[in-house]
Amino acid sequence: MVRLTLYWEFFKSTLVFNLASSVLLAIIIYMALKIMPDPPPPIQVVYIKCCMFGGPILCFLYNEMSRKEEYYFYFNRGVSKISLIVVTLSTYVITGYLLINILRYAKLA
Amino acid sequence: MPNLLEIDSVVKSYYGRSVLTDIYVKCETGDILGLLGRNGSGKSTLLKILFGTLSAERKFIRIDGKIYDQPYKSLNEICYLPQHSFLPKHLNVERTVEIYLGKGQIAGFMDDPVLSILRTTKISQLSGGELRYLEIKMLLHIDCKFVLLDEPFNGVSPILVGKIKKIILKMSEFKGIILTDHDYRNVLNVANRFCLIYDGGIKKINNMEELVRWGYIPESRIE
Repeated sequence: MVRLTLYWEFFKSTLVFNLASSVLLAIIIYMALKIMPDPPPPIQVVYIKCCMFGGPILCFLYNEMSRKEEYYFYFNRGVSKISLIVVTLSTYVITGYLLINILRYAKLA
Repeated sequence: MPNLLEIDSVVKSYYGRSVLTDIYVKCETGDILGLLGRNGSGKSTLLKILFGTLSAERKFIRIDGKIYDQPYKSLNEICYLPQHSFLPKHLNVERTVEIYLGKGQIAGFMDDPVLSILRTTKISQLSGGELRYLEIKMLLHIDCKFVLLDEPFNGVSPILVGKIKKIILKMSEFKGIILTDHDYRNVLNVANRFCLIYDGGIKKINNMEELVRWGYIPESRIE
């Protein structure tokens, strides 16, 4: 139970950074895709995909550079860095995948 | 039954420079081991290797006879206070204590003149001393066998230093504690065994004169 709470707290600590940085990332990628010959996917799909991969990776890099010591909060309760990253990334990927499918089903994307 | 932590044959070097050479350290329940050494002598390195978050060329860590590669991954074996604050800034004091110690222990833990007024304060809003005090008190109250404290008195006011020393002494009945700090007077004051890391090796210290002999403190500091 303690470990689940820790995974949840770590996930929450990445959420704001991920959502914000993914906005920028999605705009840049969408603009880049627009100059390609094929039509780009809807921007909401690009944004969700950024939240699944690019945003979390940026967040982990940011943590590594400026909040490295905070990992000890989790280490002291037996949770390793790699497991925090794997669980958080998996959560984003699964949630993003579900959201994209919901959007497709609702014909919004 | 007292628990026993041993770290043996530690060899660690950075970029070809040998920092620790064949170190052996032992700590039992009831021990407060003061680890002294000059800047860059390898005190923090040794604690991180012992905790399991830093690799070494060679090391053997045993807790109660069982060998560990990364002891921190086993819950309730070992805790570590790093030099810099490690509590997530987005949490508040009460939530942090709840995560670490459980809901049932919040009331008893917060029944403290320093912490009772900080219940709902965010970690990011605490002063350096308050933060250090909270971190140390929490780590010492976790149900684990050994606690490693890296510079626990750094940036802490004398009143809080006194409180921290009291908690260390009280909790040493149930745990083994290894601490290191450049404020050697506080270390000498609270610890019951002392070691000095010198030239990559470890020297057992019995009195202040030995600290002078090994060049850790100047002769003029002996009172």
